[in-house]
Amino acid sequence: MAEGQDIRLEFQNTPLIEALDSFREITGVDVVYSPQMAEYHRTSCIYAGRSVREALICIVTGLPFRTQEVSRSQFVLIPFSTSIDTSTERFVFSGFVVDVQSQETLIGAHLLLPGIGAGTVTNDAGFFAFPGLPGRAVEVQVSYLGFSPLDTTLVVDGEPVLFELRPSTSFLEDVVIEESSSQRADLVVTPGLLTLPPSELAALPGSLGGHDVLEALRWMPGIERAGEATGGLLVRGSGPDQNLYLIDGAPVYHPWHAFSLVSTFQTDTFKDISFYRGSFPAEYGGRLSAVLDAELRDGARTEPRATFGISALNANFLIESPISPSSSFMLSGRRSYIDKLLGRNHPVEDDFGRRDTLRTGYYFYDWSAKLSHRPDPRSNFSISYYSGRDALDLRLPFDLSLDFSSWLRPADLFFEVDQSWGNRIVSARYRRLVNDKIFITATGYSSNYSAAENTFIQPTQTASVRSQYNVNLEDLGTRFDLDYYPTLRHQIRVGAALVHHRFSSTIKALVAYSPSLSEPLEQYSSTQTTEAALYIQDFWKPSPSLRILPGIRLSFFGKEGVVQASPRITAQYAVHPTNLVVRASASTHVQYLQRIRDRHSYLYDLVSSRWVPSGNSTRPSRSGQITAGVESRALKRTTIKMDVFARGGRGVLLPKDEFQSKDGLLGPGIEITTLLGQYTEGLERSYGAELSIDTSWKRWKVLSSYTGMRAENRARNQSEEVFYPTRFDVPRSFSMVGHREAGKWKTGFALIWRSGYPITVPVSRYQLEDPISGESPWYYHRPDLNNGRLPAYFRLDLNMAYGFHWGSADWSVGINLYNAINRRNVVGQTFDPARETFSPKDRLGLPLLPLFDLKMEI
Amino acid sequence: MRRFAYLSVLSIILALGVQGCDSIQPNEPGTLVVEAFFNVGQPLPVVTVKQAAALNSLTESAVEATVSLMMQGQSFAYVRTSDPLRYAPEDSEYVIPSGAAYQLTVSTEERTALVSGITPQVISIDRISVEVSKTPIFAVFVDTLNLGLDSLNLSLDASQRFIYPVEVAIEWRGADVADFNPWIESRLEPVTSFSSSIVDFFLLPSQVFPESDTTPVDGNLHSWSGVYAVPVTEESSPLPDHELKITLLRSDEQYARFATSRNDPVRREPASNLQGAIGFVGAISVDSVRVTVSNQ
Repeated sequence: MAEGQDIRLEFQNTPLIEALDSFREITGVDVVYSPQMAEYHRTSCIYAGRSVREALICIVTGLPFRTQEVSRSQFVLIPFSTSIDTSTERFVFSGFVVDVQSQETLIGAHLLLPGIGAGTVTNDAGFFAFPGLPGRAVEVQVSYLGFSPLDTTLVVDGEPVLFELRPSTSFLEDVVIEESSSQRADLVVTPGLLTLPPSELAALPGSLGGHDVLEALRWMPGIERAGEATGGLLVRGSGPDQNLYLIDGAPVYHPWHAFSLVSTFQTDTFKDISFYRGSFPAEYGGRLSAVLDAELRDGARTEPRATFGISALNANFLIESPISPSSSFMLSGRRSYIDKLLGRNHPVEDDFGRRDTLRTGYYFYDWSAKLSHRPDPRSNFSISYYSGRDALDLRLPFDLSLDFSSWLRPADLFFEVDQSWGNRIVSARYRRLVNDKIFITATGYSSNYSAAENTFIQPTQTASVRSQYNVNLEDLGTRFDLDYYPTLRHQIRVGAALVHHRFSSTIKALVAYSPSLSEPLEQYSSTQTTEAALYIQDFWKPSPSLRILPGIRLSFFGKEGVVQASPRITAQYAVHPTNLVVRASASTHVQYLQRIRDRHSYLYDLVSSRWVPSGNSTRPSRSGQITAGVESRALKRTTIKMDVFARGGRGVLLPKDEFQSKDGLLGPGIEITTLLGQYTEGLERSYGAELSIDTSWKRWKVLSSYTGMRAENRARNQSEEVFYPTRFDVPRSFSMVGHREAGKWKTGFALIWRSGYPITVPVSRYQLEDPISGESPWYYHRPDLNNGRLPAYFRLDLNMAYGFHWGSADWSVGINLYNAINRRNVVGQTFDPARETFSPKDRLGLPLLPLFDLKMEI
Repeated sequence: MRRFAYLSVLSIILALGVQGCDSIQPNEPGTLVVEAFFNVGQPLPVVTVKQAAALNSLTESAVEATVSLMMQGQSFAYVRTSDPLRYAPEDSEYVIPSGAAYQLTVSTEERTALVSGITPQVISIDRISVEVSKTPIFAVFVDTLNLGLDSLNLSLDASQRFIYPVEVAIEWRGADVADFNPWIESRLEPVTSFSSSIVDFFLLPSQVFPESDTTPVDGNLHSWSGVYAVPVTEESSPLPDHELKITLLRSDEQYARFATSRNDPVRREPASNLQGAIGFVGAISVDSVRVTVSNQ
């Protein structure tokens, strides 16, 4: 382009490299520069004129570069000489990043020093450190999801710096859910890491359980739920018990309410949630597949805040407030209220004056609390508490139906079900910045999971079943983590963990077939074991484009002291900082506890999770996984990411008899060896590809995900020589979730299409004689497990909310249409060989369900 | 425009990825099915050899096979009968002894099925006692407990009617073969029409259990008690006179797996003990008595 022609440039916070590319395209003038120096800079510039030189100066104004014309059609970008001291003295720049409103520390905030091309993210305490800086003057850019970025220059004086970020209000700054494409994740190299800012989760369409962390995860590629609206999370073909759920460092063994409809992770109570899919750093262990690490809010440090909400399932509140300039608290609660609407106790009386009290009680609740104290700028102490429980209390006649008048009377024949299950966690944490290069975290916790199943059934006037079953799992653990920042290129984390597990369960049952004939069952099962681990990992940055995270975890388990080493490594290379980032990882994991349940008796393990430690009769399960992926932000406001993965595991427990399901009363008993006798060790493998597109269009933000995957099992020591699809193998799955904010209105949609779950389909039929009765019923022959599939599943959910200010509070009222098109998906099929023709009997999924939501904030 | 093209290409890839049929309907008739029960104290049984029928067919087909039996070191040949699915022993005089090792081989052109075992000791019902409720009692009549959260199906479709619970105690001599680990199947079969599987579930009209689970009451005399129900129309109805078949069967653990897995054909097929075929071949000892039960 000849000098003198019109040049129009307009860049708003545009990556410098992208701006220079546009400059080249418009002017035809080449610019030579070092991509490593330019990759982290962004520019804002509006230029309209005819000078190529001035246009280029406009682009680099405010950046540490100057321009030099080397020929008529070529310029060179030269970095300003940084104010490097000629002395050998080095400085450490460290500090914390917090939310200016609540003063909550921000985990994973992104810090860049453009002058030297260095970057890092804050740790679990919101802490960062840049050691070995050549000068005191530091230009730094601080950013965090959902917050306005901060760009400033300051002088390092040896004391930790406090950066306060302000929540963004601009729509364009919002992000639905950032995967590793986020600003944060391009420094955290772990592929598959999902960061879930709780403030953004509320924008997603809720499901039956309302806005829920684990429900939101199902929209991510590679993640399914083991059921239509209920069931655990299945990550990359793994089992639901292969995920580790942590609240403030303490494990949660059963993270679900309402028969897995709602998770225990109440969105508003957390300040940060990280979910590692498939591969996780060495600091985590004990599970094969995924880790969800959630951190409760510390509590607002500036001014009190309270929110109240009510949805179709529950009502909730959250209060947080400063106690003193250095301490704060958060308290939240949630409770379902359907029992209040229906009534829990129903006194009834018949015409003869006989009285009874029928019961229809079901509720769940959560309590979360955190007390946080910061005695000085370098340390923080917190105590967290979580307690959540479900309670089902029924006393109903057998002939119940929607016609209440037909059975709302004293019951002669009835069943009573009194079940409860839940978690209780207490966690204490102390964090301290020992010096500019060392940060320590010490955690102690107690985690308890308990369940009780009490049953009384009176099917005839003389026959009855009475049972009391209890399960208890108690963890007492401690862990110590140390972050060491030796140089700008290395960030080393080492740690140790020790946890004592105690498992116990009891059953006391009596089945009375007649007044004189009964059968008792009374058993007690108890075991305890210790698990310890040591780990080290190094976040190594050999160059601005290459980041590597090698690590190894050594774990010890049980009295025998089984030692397992689990090395892992992840790496990221930025071919181009925005257009193409390549990631890869290889990791191995060990799991010592497996969750299984009895497959025979209706009197135990109905709602309870029984965790069984590996020991003499079971080995620890192990898995290995390799992942490779690319990420591109070449398109404006669009992030495209693709991963391929393969994982294999051994030592997982599979049912010995896949067709066996609960069909009796007393069953074989609750002893661990008896329970393990129903299972056999098996192999598992899965492989697949995941694609996600996160894009903004006008006021819409849309996340689309596609997963192509196979997940297969093979039982060892059985006749099966080949792998067969797992129960929830989903070869193809597509989901799209979007939301739009316009003024006071928020609208959203979520759709999911996936292959149907596998089912075992008969291949032929035959008769077999009963040697006692002589009858010869027909049976279907089912030689191959999961050889067929249900029809494909499709659902569309819609939601809409309206926000307004009334009184002195902000209100939001919304409605969510679950299965808006009322598509009756087939969620199960049975085959009856007594029927002459072969035709499956379908079990249909949920119809259209309208659900409301009301929220108030003061 | 570039963005549109890019997303279009992706959409096409996705469409190609998601198209295709997920549902399949396998149909593999022709599986070899073998069935026989060697009843101790009885002549050698007929062996059924057939091919499983197609899914939409109720006709099993015959298969040309060679059937041979080794029992207690003695070989027995089988020949096809007029019923092409059945093979009868040439030696119809031989009586199956207890404690005898056996191996049955069924060979067709394509495959060979094998099964082996040991015949159990003879079982014999020594004594029975029947106790009838003096008056009928209420019982719930419901066939399925279908409570699906996903389907919001909360109706149990149950009703209450009257039944007479009848308790039956059976005594028999225990097996004295220590290493055989015998299992017992006990069954009470009243000749009445009764249609509540749920009531049966909470009573005890039949049971499969290790014989060692029953403590001998007198020397080696074992005892089992069960309860069955007889429906009546009204609270004042007398117990209808009816015939009751009481059966005890002794066999091994393989039979126990077969017996406990055959009662829910919708959910599963019976556990097979054959190599190279499906079905069941086992050695049993059965004793049955028929009694008439009345209010007298």
